[in-house]
Amino acid sequence: MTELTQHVERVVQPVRASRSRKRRMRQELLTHLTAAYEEERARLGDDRLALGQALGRLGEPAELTRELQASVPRLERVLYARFGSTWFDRRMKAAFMGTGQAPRRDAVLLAGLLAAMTFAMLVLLPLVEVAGGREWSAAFVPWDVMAVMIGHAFVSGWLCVGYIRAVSGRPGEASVTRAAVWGAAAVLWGAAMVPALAVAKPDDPLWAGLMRSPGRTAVAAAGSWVFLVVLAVVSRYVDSREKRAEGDALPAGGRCSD
Amino acid sequence: MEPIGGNTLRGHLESLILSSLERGEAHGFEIWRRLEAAGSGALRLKEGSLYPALYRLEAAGEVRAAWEDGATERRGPRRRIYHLTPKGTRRLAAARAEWQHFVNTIGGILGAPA
Repeated sequence: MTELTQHVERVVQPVRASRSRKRRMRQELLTHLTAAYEEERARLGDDRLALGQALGRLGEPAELTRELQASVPRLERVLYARFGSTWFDRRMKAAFMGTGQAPRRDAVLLAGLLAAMTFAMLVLLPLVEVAGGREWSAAFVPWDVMAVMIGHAFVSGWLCVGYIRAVSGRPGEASVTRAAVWGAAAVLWGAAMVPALAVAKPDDPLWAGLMRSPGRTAVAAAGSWVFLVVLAVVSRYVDSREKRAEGDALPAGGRCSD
Repeated sequence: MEPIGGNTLRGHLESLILSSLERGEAHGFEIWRRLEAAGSGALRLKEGSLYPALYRLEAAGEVRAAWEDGATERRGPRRRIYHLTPKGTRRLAAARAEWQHFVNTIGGILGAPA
């Protein structure tokens, strides 16, 4: 069976896709190849010949790799072509599930990524407005406001990673108390952005209005809890799916890489 | 006559899979068996090509798939069972109509019976 597994690995390994998608490809192709091999063995009565026939039936490996690659959604293809499935998946798993050797560093990396995305958005949106005919001076986000928002995105990202880690994992590993602490910190940090932005840009009617009626900020904070509960449900789902996918691993002898 | 395979078959593979699933849910190997039986040995399908086609159909919502129940007595790796969705049934009907139109038109030109 090792030959069958190795052949499947030769086909699937070069495909740029997520680990779970590749795992599924491996399992389905191996199931098919095993059935074809059994069929040929019963027909020919010779293991070697049966193996050659079964492999030939599946098709030329490079061609099959191309076909499998074309079936992967475009975004996933681009994402995994850029970062490589191992790097990207490991970073995400390490950050959210604490599986890496340096989970804190991975959490900081993810928070940094969120901050960089916020920066890109704050620069790109005014450019879109300018392209639409608005004056640059009116569209430009002031540096102090930008600094507050980027800093806020970084800390929020870090707190959310902590929260997701607290609600993920097997019962017992997951901790309601830890989740509540991380969640409360995230909500309070969100509420703290209002006065920080009001200081950075006192004339903005949105922040000024929120500062005048703190009730609205409290409502927003309560809404954040709803978001966190939804996030907890999603995290539990993703975690259980990941565990299920691990259970779909190839049989013994089927060593595989990404 | 030469067996039908390669590019000639590739353009119709998804419709053929939908048609085979019309007979009931099936895993990949069973779908291939049904196609082979229906083609009476005249199809030369590279069996691996079935899976990219199934993934495209699943992404389009035309088939749905689930892993076989782990409690099955069968030995070996688990199988993924595919079944036709209402959207897939509609696409199959459209593919049949298109094929009939093609056969009528080209058959008329070639002089072969439609």
